[in-house]
Amino acid sequence: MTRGEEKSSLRFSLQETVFLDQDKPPIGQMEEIQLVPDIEVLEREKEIRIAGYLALYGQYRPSDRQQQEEEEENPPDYQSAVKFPPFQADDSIYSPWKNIGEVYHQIPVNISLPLDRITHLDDVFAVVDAFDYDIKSPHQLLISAELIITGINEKESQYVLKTPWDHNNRLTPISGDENQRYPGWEKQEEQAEQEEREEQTESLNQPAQSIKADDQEPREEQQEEESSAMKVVPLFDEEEDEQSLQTEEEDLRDKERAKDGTEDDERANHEGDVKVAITAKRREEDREQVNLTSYAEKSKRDSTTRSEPDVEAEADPAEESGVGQSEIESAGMDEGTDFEDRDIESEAAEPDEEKEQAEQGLYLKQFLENREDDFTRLTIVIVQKDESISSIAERYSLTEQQIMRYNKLESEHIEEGQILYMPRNRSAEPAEK
Amino acid sequence: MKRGHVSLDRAVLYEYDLAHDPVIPVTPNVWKIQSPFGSFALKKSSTDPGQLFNINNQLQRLAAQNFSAVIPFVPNKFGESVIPVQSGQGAYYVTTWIGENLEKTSVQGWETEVLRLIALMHQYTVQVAIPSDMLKKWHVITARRLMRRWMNGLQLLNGFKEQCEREKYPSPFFVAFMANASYIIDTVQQSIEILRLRAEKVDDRDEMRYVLCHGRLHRGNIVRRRNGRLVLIDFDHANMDTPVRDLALFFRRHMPAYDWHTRTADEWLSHYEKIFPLTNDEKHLLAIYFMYPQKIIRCVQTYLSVSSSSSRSEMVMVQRLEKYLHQFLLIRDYARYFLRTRLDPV
Amino acid sequence: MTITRTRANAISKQYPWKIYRGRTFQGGYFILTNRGKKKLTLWHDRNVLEWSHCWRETMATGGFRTVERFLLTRDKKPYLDLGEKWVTATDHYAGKHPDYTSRRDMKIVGKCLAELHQSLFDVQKKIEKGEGLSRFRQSMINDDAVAKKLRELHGKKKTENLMNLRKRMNRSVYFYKKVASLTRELPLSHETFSAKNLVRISGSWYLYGCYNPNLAPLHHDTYHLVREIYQKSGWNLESVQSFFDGYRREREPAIQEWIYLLSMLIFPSDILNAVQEEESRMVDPVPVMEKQAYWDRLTIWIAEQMDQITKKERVSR
Repeated sequence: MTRGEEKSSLRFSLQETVFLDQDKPPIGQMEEIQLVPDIEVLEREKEIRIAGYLALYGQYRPSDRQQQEEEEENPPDYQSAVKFPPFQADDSIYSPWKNIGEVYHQIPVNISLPLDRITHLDDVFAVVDAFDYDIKSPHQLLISAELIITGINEKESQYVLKTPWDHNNRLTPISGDENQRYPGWEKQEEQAEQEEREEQTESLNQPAQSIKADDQEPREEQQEEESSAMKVVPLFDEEEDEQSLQTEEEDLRDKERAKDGTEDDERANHEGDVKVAITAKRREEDREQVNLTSYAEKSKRDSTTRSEPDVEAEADPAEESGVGQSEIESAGMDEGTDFEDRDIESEAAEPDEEKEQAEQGLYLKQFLENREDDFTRLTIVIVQKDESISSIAERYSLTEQQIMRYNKLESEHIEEGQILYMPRNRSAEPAEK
Repeated sequence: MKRGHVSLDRAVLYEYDLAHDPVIPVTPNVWKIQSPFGSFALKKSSTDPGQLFNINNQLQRLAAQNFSAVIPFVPNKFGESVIPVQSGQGAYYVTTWIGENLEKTSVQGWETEVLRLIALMHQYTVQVAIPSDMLKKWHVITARRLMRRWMNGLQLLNGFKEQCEREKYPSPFFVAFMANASYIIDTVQQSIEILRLRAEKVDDRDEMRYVLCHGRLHRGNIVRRRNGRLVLIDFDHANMDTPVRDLALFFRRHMPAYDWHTRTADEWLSHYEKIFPLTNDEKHLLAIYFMYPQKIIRCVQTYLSVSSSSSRSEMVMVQRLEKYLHQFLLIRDYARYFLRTRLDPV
Repeated sequence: MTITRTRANAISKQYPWKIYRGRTFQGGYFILTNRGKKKLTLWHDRNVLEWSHCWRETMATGGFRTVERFLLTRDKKPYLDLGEKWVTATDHYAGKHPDYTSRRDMKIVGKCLAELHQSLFDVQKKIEKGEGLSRFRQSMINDDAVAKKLRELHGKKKTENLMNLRKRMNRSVYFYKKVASLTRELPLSHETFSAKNLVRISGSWYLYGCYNPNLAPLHHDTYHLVREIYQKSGWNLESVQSFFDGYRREREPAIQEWIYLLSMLIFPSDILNAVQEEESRMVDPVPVMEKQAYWDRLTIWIAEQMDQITKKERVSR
C-alpha cells in the first residue's frame, strides 16, 4: 500500500499482562513468542468493523524449580533403595525430555470505523508491529505491541476502544475525544476496575491487558482530555471471556440482519467511533527491537510530515510508564547513532514492505472468504545452543541470506541467546516442529 | 586290570591339533594317534598333574644329556606338556610313538639291559640331601613313610591271623596262611625294626641318595626303537627316591621267573653296580626290601576284599598264596646270601 | 596397519604350520593351514596383550582348558612382535553361541565368567600394571561427573523426568561411594563381555575373543553381560537367575562386589545417553524410557538377591 496523502493508518499501542496458570512451570527464558493477528474486516452499512483477536503464542524454558527431594540416607534394604518412579513418556509432541512451557492468550480486537474513512476495503488490513515482551515474574508476562490498521482516509475520525480492563491496564488513545463521544467512560472504567479486582481474586490466570491507541490523526481535544477520561468500554461482562468474540460476531451478524432503526440509534451513540477490543494471551517474541525501530522510524516519518507524533506522551505522561516509555527510549536511541543506517535500511526494505502489505491486504480479503487462511506473524527467535543460521532458516522456510539481511548480520556466526527476527515469508509458513 | 575303558576327552586332541586324526585305543588309557606329523601316544594318567610336570622336567633333563632311553612329553600348541583332566583326577600327556612294548616281542637278556639303563638314569639324576621343599613337591617316600606303610601291612597280617585263629572251620586259604603266618609276621617285624633304626639315622643326617626312580618297571613299560634300543616309558609312578626302590621292585617282579637263582641275581646286580654302585647302607635297605612280603600281604588283602568267594576262586587264591609263600622263602634265602656276600667291608 | 596376505605368509613362517590360504576376517586374518583353521589378530598395546595372555594361561592352568589361548611360535613365544604392533595366532572357533533362553546355557555362561574373574584375581598379583593397563576407563559413577551431567541438563528438561534421572544417579553414587575403595582393589577386567564370547564345539564350551579390550574394574563385564542376557532373553529374569546360579556356584562375590554391580545397574546410562543424543535428535527417547522400566526391574531383582544374601549372613552370624 502506498502512503498516500489521503490515506493513513490507525495505530493502537497495546499492553497486556498475561498471567500463567499456577500449575504451569515458571518462566525461565522465552524460546519463541509470536503475536498473530486473527482479524477480519467487515463492511457494514455505515461502518467498517475490524474484529477478531491477536493470538499470542509462546514457548519458554521453565526456570529451575528447586529440586530438593533429598533421599533418605540409609535405606532399610537394597530393594527399597532401588525403587524409583518410572520415567514419563507422555503423548506430547515434544520429547519427554523437552522442558517447554507454552503460553496461549487471545487479545480480542473490535474496531469500528465509519465507512467514509475508507476508500477501498482492500486497503484495510491489520498489522502487528512493534511487538515486545517483558517477564515480570515467573508467572507474569507483560507484552506490548502496536496494532496498525491501514487504509484509513485522512480525515477526522473517531474511535472507541472497547476492552475489559484490569487495574494494570492502560489505554492511551493518542488522539481522539473519547470522553466526549463516549460519555459513560469513567463510570465504566470504574466498573471495569472493580470487576477486574474480583476477577483477580477468582483467578490469576485471567489475562490482564492494556491497550494504547495511537491515532495518526490526533485531534486537538485530545490534549484536554485526562488520561482517566479515556474512553474504554468494557466489551464483555465479567463472565464473558473467550466467548466474547463469538458473541460479538453474532451481534454483528444480528445487526447486519436487522439493519433497522434500532441499530441506527445505537450507531448514533457511536457513530464514527473506532472500537477496539483487545485481549491477550501469550507468546513470547524477542522481536521487539526491530519492531520498535520500525515503529520509531514510522513515527519519525509521521512526525516530520504531520508533527503529531508525541501527542501520546504529552497526553498521558504519567501513564506512559510501560511500553510507551520504552518505545520512546528506543526511538530516541535509534535517533541517535543509527539513524542514517536505519533510513537506508528502511528504504531498502520499503519495497518488500509494500509487497508484504499488499499481500496482507490480499490476505485480509481472502480471510473474509476463508477463515482458515493463514495470517501474519511476527516471530522472534532466540538462538539456542548448537543452532545455526541454516538450521533456523530451514525451520522457518527461509534462506540464510534472508535472515542475515533482515538482522543485518555480517557473518553467519550466531551465538546462543542471540535474538533473530524472522522476516515474514508469506509464501511459506514456518515449518512447525 | 580291573579298570574298564577310560573315556577320552576329545577336547585334549584340539590342544595338539590332532583332533582330526585317527585315534586307536591301545590300552584302556592309552591311545595311538596317527597324524601327518607322526604317530603319538596319548595317555590319560591318574597321577597328579604336578607330579607329572616334575617327572617331565627330569625326563627333559635326561634327554638334554642325550640319554635316549627316556622320552619327554610332547608339548601342546600352547607349550604345555601335562594337561590336567578337566573334571576329576589325573592328567593327559602325549609322547611320540616309539614302538611295541616287550610284552609282545620279548627280547633275550632285556633285564640286564634295562638294569643298565636304570643305573644310568639313577646316575644322571642322583642327588644327595634333597632340599626339604623338593621332598614336599615330590611326595618322596621317606624311610619313615615306608615304615608306616609296612606297619600297616604288619597290622593287616596280625589281624588276619587272629581271624584265622577264631575260625572253627577254617577255609583252605586260612589253613595255607596259618601254616606260615608266624614266620612271615616275625620277618616283617624284623624288617620294620631295621627300618626304624635306619629312619632315625637317615632323618638325623639326611645322607640318603635320591634318584629318579621309575617305580614300575616291567615289560609293558619298555618299548623298542626300530634300531633295537630300549626305551623306558610310563613314568606315572616315578619319584625321587632311593635307587633301592627301583632295584627291589625290579627283582621282586622279574626274579621269580628265574626262581631267585643266586647267580642270575648276582649278575643282574653287577650290571647295575658297574654303572651306579650302591652304598652299604643302600644294600642293607635292599635286603630289607627283599624281605618284606609285599605279595603275600597283597594276596591276603585281595582275599579279604573278595568276601563271598566261590570255591573256585578260593582255590585260585590258595594256589596264589602258596606260590607267594614259596617265593618268599626263596627271596629270604637270597637276601640272607646277599647280606653275607655283597656288603662292602666296613 | 592391517594383516595382508603377504604379511600373513611372513607371520606363518614363525609358526609351526604351512599356510594354504587366507582372508581378512572380523578384524583379524583368517588362515587355513595344515594344522587347521587359525586366526591372526593384531594387537595395539603390548601390555594389554600380555595381560590377556596371562589370564588365558591362568585360566587354562587353573583347569578351564577350553579357553582360547595364544598359539606358540616356533620360538615358543605366545605372540609376534612386529614393532609397535603385535600379532597373536589362535584357533578358529566356529560353533553355536549360548541360547539366552536356555537355563543350562546361561548357567554355563555364569560359570565361565566366574572362572575368568577368578583367574583375574591371580593375574592381578602376577602382572605389573603397564601403561596400557593403567589407562583403563574409570567409572563414570562419581559425584563430579553426575553433578556435571545434571548441570548440563538442568533447566532444559522436564522436571519430573529430570528428578527421576537425578534420583537414580544420586542413588548410584550413594552405593558407589560405599565401595569406591574396593573398586581400586578389584582386578582389572574387560569393560564389556558378551555371551557371544562363548561357543560350543564338539560338546565343549570355548571362551574366546576379547581382543584389544578396554579395561575396567571387575564387574563392568558382569554388568554388561547381565543386561545382555536379560534383554536378549526377552526380559526373562529366569535367564538372569540361571546366570547367577552358574556364577555363584563357581565363585561367590563379596557383598561389596554386589553393591558395585548394583550401583552400575542403577545408573540410568541409557536414559542419559538418549537425553544427550536427543539434543541432536538421534534417538527417540520414548522407547528408551520404556526400556528403562525393564532395567529398573532387573535392578530390583538384583537388590532382592542382595537382601537375601545379607539376611543369610546375618542369620549365620
